[in-house]
Amino acid sequence: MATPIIQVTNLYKTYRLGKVDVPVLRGATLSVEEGETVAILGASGSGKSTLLHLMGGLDRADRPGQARRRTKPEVCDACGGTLTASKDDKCPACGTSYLYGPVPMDAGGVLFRGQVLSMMSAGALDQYRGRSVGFVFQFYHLLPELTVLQNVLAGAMAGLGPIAYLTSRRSAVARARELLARVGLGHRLSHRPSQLSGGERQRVAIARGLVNTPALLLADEPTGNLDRKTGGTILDLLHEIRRETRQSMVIVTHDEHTAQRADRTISLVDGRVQR
Amino acid sequence: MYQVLLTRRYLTSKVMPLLASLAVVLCTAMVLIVWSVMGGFLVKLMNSGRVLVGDVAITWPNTGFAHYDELVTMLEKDPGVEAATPMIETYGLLSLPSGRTEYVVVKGVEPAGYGAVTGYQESLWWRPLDAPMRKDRLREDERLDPGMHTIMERALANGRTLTRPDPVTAKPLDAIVMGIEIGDNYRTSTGVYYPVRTRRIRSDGTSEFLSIRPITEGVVKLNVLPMDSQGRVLEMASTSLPIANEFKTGMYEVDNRTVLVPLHTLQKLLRMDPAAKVAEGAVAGETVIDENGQEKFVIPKVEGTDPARVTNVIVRGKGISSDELRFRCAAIYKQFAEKHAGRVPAAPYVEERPGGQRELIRDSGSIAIRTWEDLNATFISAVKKETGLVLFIFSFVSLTAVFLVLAIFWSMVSEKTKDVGVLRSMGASRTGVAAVWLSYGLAIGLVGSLLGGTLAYTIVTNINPIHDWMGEALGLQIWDPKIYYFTDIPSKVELDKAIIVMSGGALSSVVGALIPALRAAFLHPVKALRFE
Repeated sequence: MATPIIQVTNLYKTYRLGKVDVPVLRGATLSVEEGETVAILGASGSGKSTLLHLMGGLDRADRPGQARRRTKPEVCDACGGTLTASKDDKCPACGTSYLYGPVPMDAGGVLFRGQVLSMMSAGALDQYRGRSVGFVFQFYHLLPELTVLQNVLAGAMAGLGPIAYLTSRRSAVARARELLARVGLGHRLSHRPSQLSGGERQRVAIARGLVNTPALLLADEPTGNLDRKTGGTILDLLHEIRRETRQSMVIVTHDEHTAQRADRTISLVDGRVQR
Repeated sequence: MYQVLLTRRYLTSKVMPLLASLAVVLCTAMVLIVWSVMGGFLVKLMNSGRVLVGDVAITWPNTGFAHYDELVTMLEKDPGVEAATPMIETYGLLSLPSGRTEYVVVKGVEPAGYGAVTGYQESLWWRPLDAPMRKDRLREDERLDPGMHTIMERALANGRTLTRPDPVTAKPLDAIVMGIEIGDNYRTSTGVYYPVRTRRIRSDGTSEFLSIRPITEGVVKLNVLPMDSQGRVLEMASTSLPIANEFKTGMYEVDNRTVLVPLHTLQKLLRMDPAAKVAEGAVAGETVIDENGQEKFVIPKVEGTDPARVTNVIVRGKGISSDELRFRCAAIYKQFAEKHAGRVPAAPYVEERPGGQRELIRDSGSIAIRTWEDLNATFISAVKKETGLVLFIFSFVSLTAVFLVLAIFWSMVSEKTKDVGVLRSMGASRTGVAAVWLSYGLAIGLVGSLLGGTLAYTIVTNINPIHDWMGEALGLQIWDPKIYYFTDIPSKVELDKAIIVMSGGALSSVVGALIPALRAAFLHPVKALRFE
């Protein structure tokens, strides 16, 4: 039986826009197996990127209690039927679940290889982002002052910390060069991002995301800012590398063609996962 | 590590930080120049102020104390003493050849001993000069004139011996050496003195022309107020003294008020020279009726000699601090006072404090033993306070660098918000992100303070040529020797001060970067990534 690398359970996230609370995730739940590629498909504003950010430890989910009611409602929101006074938290008429009462400790959250992200200290979460996951963003997010090689090495520096980086500097540089060669940019190490095309920038971003050999690669619309042909090439590259390294990968996309190339596709609608 | 990489890159690829660095450069340079010039001014004043006072002075003013030669011998036996010499210090009125009368401090000295203890001989102004002074480009100084060479050599010799030969008999006469600012000299903006030697102002305001040169023909009249050994004021005493030379210590208050005369001349005027000691009770010149009924004059019985007195013995130290020398002088004076108990002032008491500290405790009956710093304490502390105040004001003004760095960094953090999000996504901690901006601030501060230090050093070491150039090219003369007395702008760059100011410059940049660094550190990673 395959082991899950990351499990998302009953995840809630609400953003506040001015005076209005905008719920983005409403109890999202999913699991990604070791070595598996999962595509999260959804329309714009469905919460895909938010889910990815929470999985990557960039943001913290709301405590499930915040989505709960303090006391059990008397009338069902879905069908208008009267809710019984029993301890059952489902509507007897339509079966809608109601969360209320005290929040159990294990209710909801992100588990990476059995570790609850919300229980991690800030330092441990930094380490998690630096070593266990790699990000690839839609808009590349390269540091414009640095060269191609330095951008990739910055990932190693930030992820490993000063002492670990200094002790493994040679291997980190070799790894960065190797990755850049692998993505076809071995000859452009000294170029600045401004001197590269969109596709080339995304290749650098992929190399940066992989430089610390993370167990999980999180790609947020990696082809969203590229034309179809370039996007296809980038996807080919991502899948090739994933096959070689046996890394798990979560790709967020609104493009069905991109999603189809994953091992499994999950749809996110109104902040909930639909299988 | 990424902090170093980004700092290096930001430093070389952005214009804004160069402005922040420039602010640090200017503020560092400004504070360092002010401190160096004010510090140089203080050092110059202190050096000038000690020219005529030696390192330590043993002082019993007014009546003075006797047996000083013995004290001088005892002092000179101490390995920490280079030389010691007696001196009288009093006040007098000096009538100049021009008819002007000045109130002066009169010092009676033994020229050879005084020269050994102080820098008096080097301060003599009228002497042959081979090269002109720095600002005297037109060689206007008459000391350079070969035709004046003999006169100047003679004036120098006269000044060294405090004598001037009688023009008729060539016999050396006791003479006076005056501060250069007392006499009728005209000081030019290049620091050259011209003796005004052809005019005498009459009491009715009219003037007559004389054709005398003060150092060759000038004679002054010195009036002093003597006291007896009990401190009672006697009748004013006067004497005429030819002018041997003039001196310049560099301290206006000294050069404008001090005259030097031979010790024995002043002792005679003040009645501090050796005198016959008569029996107590008899009054000279009184008539009494003797046992035979005859009226006769009283002739007081001479019972010995009252030794000569001086008010000061000044000492020059050898290889020890003036403070240490003071305690040695106190110990020697104690032996001296014990030997002449009741005839000389008592010695001050040395109090030992915990931690090896010592202090001289002086009551009204004990002699004063003071270092040259103590003697000049009032004016030294005034200049020190002034320096501190100016430095405080300029340092406060330099705080603008902090706010400038803050404003520039705040705007840079806004510009780099997305980069902060990227760094956080790669595992950078909040501390790490803050360190990017703090190390960037430190780098800007270090570059700025190093350049500022270099700029200040260049300006301070060339301050006089720069000032001369400003005078010639722009007509600006900020430091006019006619007003400020010193010919050159004094300055002194001290390494410890430079390190303090430069560290302050670097620190101000880090302080300025602190708030933007904290802002960057506490940016929410997701919001930072989504920042437009």
